[in-house]
Amino acid sequence: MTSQRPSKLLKAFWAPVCLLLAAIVLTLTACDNGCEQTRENYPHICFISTSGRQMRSVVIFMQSNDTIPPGLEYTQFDDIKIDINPNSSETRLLIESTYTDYGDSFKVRDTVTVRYMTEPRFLDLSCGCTVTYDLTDVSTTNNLIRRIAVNNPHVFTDSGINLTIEY
Amino acid sequence: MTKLSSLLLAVVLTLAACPATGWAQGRSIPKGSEAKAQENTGKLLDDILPEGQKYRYPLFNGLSLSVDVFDPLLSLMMLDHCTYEVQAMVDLHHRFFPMAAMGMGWADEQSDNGLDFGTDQKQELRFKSDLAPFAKVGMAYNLSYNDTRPSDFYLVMMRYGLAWNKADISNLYYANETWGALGPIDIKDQEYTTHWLEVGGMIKVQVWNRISMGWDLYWKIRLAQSGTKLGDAYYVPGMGTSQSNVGFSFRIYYDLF
Repeated sequence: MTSQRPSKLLKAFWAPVCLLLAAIVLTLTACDNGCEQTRENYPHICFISTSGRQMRSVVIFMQSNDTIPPGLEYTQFDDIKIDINPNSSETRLLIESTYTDYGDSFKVRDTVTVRYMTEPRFLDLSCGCTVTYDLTDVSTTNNLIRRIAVNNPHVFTDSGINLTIEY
Repeated sequence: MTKLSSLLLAVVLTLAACPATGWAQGRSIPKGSEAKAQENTGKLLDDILPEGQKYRYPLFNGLSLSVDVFDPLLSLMMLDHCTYEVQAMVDLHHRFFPMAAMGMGWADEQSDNGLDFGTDQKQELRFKSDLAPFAKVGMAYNLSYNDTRPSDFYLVMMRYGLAWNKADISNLYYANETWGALGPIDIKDQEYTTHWLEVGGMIKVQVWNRISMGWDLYWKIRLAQSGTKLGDAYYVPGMGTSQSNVGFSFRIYYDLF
């Protein structure tokens, strides 16, 4: 008794059908990690004490185009995300710092002005786009802040600390 | 794709390739009584090779042209992008198969059902890439190169691809919870140059006279892309969309020699 050999056409087709199904399953199971993380691009700032003063807290208000959203309070100062206005080329940071000096507590206000260019960055058809910023100029008042420096002018997800503020 | 998915794909490819290809001198793995018969026949045929002769087939063993019909057919039915590809493949000793392909591809795709980016309206993004060229070169390797049935091929292959295309991306919105939405934004005339690798397997089976059919299944690895300051290309001619790393072709071959 001899077994019937499959036709060549059948031979050519069975494997692709199986493998195409496998590929489809694999493609479908390739999970979408979500767009929210990749869509977030914020400049990061870091406060460094060079005067010996110890900051206890800082409240940062953003101001752009006469709009001042509610301020946010921080007690960690080594990496703070700031939400600058993508519809504008300038955002002011109204910084209200509380610090101690020789055992006394003080509250001081400074204004940091950040100027930048906004560029869209296409992600894909599911996620749309995000924006990146190129910081062009920063300036500050010097009530508590001594100096401000741009570490990395290009603001993208993995760009690290963009601005360092010495006080 | 996740690592798990990659692993699964590798396992599936391996399992699919194993029965079709003998790892040593490349005969199919036979079963039962048929196995013994094939084994004996194979041994006899192997003996026909003169001592010291490594290959059963000559250095130049053929040249074939093929077209990929999978993508054009799908684009007629459902896809908003398409690649047209012609490939030439040389048979050397029935073992090495250098190949070169060239073609054109286009895309005009919109996001499904629109996206809500905090603008209170569904927005439909559009990625449009006009007909643009691509080229591929590579090599396939026949594991069963001394098989006595020269019309069937079970190959592993690697190809390098290069493509140039220009795209318009329109109706982009960026939503910011604090400051509101930014848009619509249009990105015009983005020029991309893309380099990529394709690694996988292919099958070619003779169906009639000089006509063969076959398919390729491969993993696409993007090596580099230029012109991406405003984002990566969603579609690359010859490589497909960025949604999947798996590529598939169904080919019709014509053997010239």
